[in-house]
Amino acid sequence: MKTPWAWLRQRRGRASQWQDELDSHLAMRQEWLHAGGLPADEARRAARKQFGNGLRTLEDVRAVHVTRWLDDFLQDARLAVRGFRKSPTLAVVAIVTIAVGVGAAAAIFGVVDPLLFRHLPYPNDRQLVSIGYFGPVDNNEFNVVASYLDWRRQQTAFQSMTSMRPAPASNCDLMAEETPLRVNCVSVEANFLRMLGVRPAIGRDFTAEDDQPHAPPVALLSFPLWRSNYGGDARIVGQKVTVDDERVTVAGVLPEGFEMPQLGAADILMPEQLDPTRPREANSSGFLRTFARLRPDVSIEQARTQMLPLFQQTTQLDVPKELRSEVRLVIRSLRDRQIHDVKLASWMLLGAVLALLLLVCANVANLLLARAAARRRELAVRAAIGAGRARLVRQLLTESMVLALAGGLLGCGVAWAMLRTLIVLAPEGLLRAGRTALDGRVLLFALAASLAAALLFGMAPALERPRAESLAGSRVAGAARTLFRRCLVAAGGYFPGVADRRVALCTQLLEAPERTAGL
Amino acid sequence: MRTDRLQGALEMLILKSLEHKDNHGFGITLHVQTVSEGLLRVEEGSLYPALHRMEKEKLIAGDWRTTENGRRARFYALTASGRKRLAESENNWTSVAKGVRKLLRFA
Repeated sequence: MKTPWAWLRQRRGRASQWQDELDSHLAMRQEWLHAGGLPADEARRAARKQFGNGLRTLEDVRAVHVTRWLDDFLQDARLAVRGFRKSPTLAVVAIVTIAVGVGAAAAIFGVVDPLLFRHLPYPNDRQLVSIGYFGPVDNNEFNVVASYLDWRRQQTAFQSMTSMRPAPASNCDLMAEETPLRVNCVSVEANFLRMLGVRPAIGRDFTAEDDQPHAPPVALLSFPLWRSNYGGDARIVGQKVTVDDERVTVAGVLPEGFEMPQLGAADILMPEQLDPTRPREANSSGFLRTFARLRPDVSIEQARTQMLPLFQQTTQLDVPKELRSEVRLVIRSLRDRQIHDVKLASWMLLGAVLALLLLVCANVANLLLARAAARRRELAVRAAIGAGRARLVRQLLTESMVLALAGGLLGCGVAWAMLRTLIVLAPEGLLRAGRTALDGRVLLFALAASLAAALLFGMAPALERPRAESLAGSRVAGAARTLFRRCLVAAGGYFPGVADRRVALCTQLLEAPERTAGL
Repeated sequence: MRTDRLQGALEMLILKSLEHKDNHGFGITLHVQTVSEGLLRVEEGSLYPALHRMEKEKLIAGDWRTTENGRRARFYALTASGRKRLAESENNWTSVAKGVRKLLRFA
């Protein structure tokens, strides 16, 4: 594979060959003129005159070979790196500052992304809802067997409904080669996986027969359990295992990465075998979690309207009189059910780190402005020898881009470290921590954040118009830049959560190096 | 006449100059000038970008060789597609020239 260095070397080699070619042309013309009788120095002059603007020709030749903007960008980037090498303290401070900002933002994004934005691991996940009674007894909506059976039979809003027994009473003993193993067994309805749109990795799904009361017991094993306890051997399907002293036939194995809709642990799924023939009083004390898949053209609001009469009807039958006024019908998207009360917290967290990123931008903009003041003469000279305004702006933005990309790269490392720390610190508290990883989406976010930051903090020095009087070296503080700086800081301060102590701390941390740098 | 004024003319002149003999840039300018008895002149400023563009389009291929005078120079040679392009543009040019001549004679 070609390394970037080899590529650069080759580019440089090519460029010098172009010059060589033009030189050889000049030399041959000169020789030819000299042979025709002109004195040597006159021949040289004539050859040069005939040739015209050699630099321009070289530029035109180069333009044939390289994409212009890329070439300009590389040239500016090289220039920027050279410039930053001259003031390494500033560059290092800026890069570290950006790294902290981008790293924190990326890490938090990595945490909230699966919660807020990413698809749930089910096909057409937006159709999935959690439905049930909501009352003072539980934080989440629940159902009772008697009501659920009525709802399932009479509802019109959903493609299908399914149910599972709530998690708490789910511990069971699996006998694995004489040693009992404590695992999580969850009882689900036969259509549970089908409603979610999930199929077993191997073996078969539950059938309606499995779900009949007193049917021969069968089970689906989770992928991790199958791996660790049965060595991932497909021959386990159809064999019997002992669960809570009962011989249970293994019907199949759940797919890798399968998630329960309420995010509970589940090592073994077994049919819940609801019994409609039991008396209503018995069934109205059997608790369930119920989920449903909306019809494609039905919204959650419409579903609620359609379900309300049924809900009122079953409330009369199954809910004790003194509680009837306190229960209501809840239908909410599966995502809302899953992230529950951390939704607001997630948005707050994301807002806070974005505010932090803004503050980082303000600080780096400050650093660059201080540098720009010192460089004003250089820029004025550039303008004087013909660099267009757009070209100057582009060069300054490229400098910011170089800083931001370096900072972003380091920031990815920071994000990685922070994510690891977060996962270790909060293994239980953070939902879906297992799905939190430094993946392509997070890296893309980091890249986008760096580039956006570069545009933001690069704009400040770039917008300053290089004036002719700057050639004289007068140092007039631009009113525009003070305004811009204030805007950035104000924007940072406007975000909710900035009052948050952590952010305040970060702000102080970020401003500290600036103070020590004596700016 | 400045040859870069007519689009495609420069390309055709370069291709034609290389038809029988590989040559370097300076050789091409010399060839065009002498053969046209000074009527046509190829500007260096247009020649080299054109050569590089044509090389990129694989109409010609360039490599470093030594001239009879012992000088290193970049020689260009026609490729198969260069030959094909030359035949096309010669045809094209002849008909354009014919048309222009007719138009000028009319009056």
